[in-house]
Amino acid sequence: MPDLVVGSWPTLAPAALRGLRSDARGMARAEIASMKSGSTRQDTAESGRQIAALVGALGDADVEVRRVAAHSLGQLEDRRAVPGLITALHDSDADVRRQAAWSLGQLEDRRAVAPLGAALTDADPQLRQTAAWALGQLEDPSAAPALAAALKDGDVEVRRKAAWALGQLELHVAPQALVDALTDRDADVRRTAGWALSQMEDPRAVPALRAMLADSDAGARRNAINALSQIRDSSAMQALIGAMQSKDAEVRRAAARALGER
Amino acid sequence: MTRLGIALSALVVAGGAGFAVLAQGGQRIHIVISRIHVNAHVHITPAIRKNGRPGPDSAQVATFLAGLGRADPVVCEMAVDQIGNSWGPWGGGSRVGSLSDESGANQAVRNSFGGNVADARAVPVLAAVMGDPSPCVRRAAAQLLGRSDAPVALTTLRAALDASDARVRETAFMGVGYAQDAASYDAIVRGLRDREVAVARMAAWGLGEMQDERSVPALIDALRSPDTGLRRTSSWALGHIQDHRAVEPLMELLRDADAGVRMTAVHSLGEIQDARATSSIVPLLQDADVTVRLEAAHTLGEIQDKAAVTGLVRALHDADAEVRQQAAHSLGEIQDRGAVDGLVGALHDANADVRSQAAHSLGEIQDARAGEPLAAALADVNADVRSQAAHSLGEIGDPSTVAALAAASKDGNTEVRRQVIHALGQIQGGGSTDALVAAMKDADPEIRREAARALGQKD
Repeated sequence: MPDLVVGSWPTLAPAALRGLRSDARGMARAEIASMKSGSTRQDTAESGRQIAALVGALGDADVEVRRVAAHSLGQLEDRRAVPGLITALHDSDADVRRQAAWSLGQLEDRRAVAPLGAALTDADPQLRQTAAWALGQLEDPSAAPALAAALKDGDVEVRRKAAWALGQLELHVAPQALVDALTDRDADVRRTAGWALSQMEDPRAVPALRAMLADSDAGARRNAINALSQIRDSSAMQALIGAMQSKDAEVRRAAARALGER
Repeated sequence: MTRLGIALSALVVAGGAGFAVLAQGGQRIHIVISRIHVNAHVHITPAIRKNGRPGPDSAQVATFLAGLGRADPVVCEMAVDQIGNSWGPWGGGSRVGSLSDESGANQAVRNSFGGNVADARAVPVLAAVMGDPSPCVRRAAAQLLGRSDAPVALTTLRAALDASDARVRETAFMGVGYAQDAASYDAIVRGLRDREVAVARMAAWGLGEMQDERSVPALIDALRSPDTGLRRTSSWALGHIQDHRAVEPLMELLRDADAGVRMTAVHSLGEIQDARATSSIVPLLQDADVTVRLEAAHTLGEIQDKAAVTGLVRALHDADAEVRQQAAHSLGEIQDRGAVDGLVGALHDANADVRSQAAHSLGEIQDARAGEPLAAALADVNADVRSQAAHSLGEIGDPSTVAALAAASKDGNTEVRRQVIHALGQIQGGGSTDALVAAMKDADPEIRREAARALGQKD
């Protein structure tokens, strides 16, 4: 499974990759902090004032203060910041908007799903990219239609992140747009779509995945065979048997391995 | 790489080794393009070296040397110092940073001296002045020949190592030193015993430049020379080579009658960073000569041996403020808790630079005993001392200092406030979060940014 999608987002470093759930991590840190300061419990009133001050700073006259505040709120992962950050998605400054979207991805609060979905149609491609990534972080299935639409985005990075995000949602029915994305002109989008489909195990994707076994990109072929081996269905089995005739030795090997596991 | 990139690499290889290096990173390609562009439009074609700039031609060299000969000795030396320097990547065509009335022609010649002499016809012109009465003209000759690309320049220098005129020999040793000419190595070692001591000194310098470990025993022998200059130069060269065999001989030199020799020996022991030297350097903290004391204080910080702490703490009371500051700095490098009381005392030094350095070093040592004295230093008259105190309080992270920092967050100086905010971000508990919340109301957006950043790191 080396080439699966998780390695492809160096700029946004999804929190899920860091191992611990955010609230568990926050608790551990608070414990360490309270041990250091000798107090037995975290001062919740003080942390409330901390969040309120930063949310207030989202309306600061200085744009850099707003950017920093939006970033800091993403680091703190305190859900009380969500309404303020949602408002900041409409800030006059593009960086503040992007930063707010990133922080909402960090906070993983469902209230942000619809506003982030709306941000997928913003004029700024970087905001659309970050919004798609954030929706992948939130892992809320109701984001699927907006993300599926984003697979037709003119910006290739938006399409890549939308495909990844759809794979995160744990859908059982593959959106048609994701199947269509297996023939995207960008190899990375095709690869990621293949990976996302492997997460869904939807037999209706089999014909398109089988076609992708002949993709010009080795990573796409690898992810197609991976996806097919996840689908417990006779058509997928037939596709794997067919793949034993592939010209690509790696595809033949992977097909044999997948068939052996059945 | 794109097709453009590959085409560029081909061009680049044709242009010389220096460019091939530049072309490796994608980012640098831009620079390469501009340089190729520049070269294509400058009609001088001789070989192009590291800096990508053609050097002066023979006529320019002749004019230059004649001008140096007529110049005031100080002006002459400064001009020679500038050989090989240029005005950054813009030296070529743009007039960025030049005075408006400098002619383009003058600028072009000046830029050409940032490159290396490649014109073989310039070599005899330079060789002719190797025995010139003006030391600065001779230095120009050594430098231009030593850094020349013309093969004949090196053969000329090598031949001159045996010249009958001692001045010519001295210049030649300097030239092969600049060239770091490995083929001259044996001749340079022999030069250490030249009948003229000036030549021997230059040979020692050349060996230091070459950093060839084989020369260590010969340089150690030269440390026993009756000539002060040769002892200084040899001890410098041994420090530059950084060979541990030199440690004991250099330690003996610490008792030399000449302050310059003692200082150079201390410096070189610092370069070699051998703890064996500590015990013999510490007494030099009380040397009669201030440059020796200063170098000793500095070197002990480089070696970072805890055995030096007591001596350095005593040096915090030196008569010279620079020595006290250097001692405070070195104590911060050594990071031993035994220095805390001494440094706390230095927070009351009459000199602000000493107080500031003491505050900084206390932050390096991170001992809680320094918390209260540093908090008091937040009220120092000098803003730099207050800044350093705040910074170090952040490093120490003692919650009991939050109240003092919160008060200092209203300091009149922006840099002090910035350091205070940063420190509050580092300290966990003690109401540091509320102090930052209060700072979010500062009128200065710079402070609000810093506070917002610090608040993001507190959870």
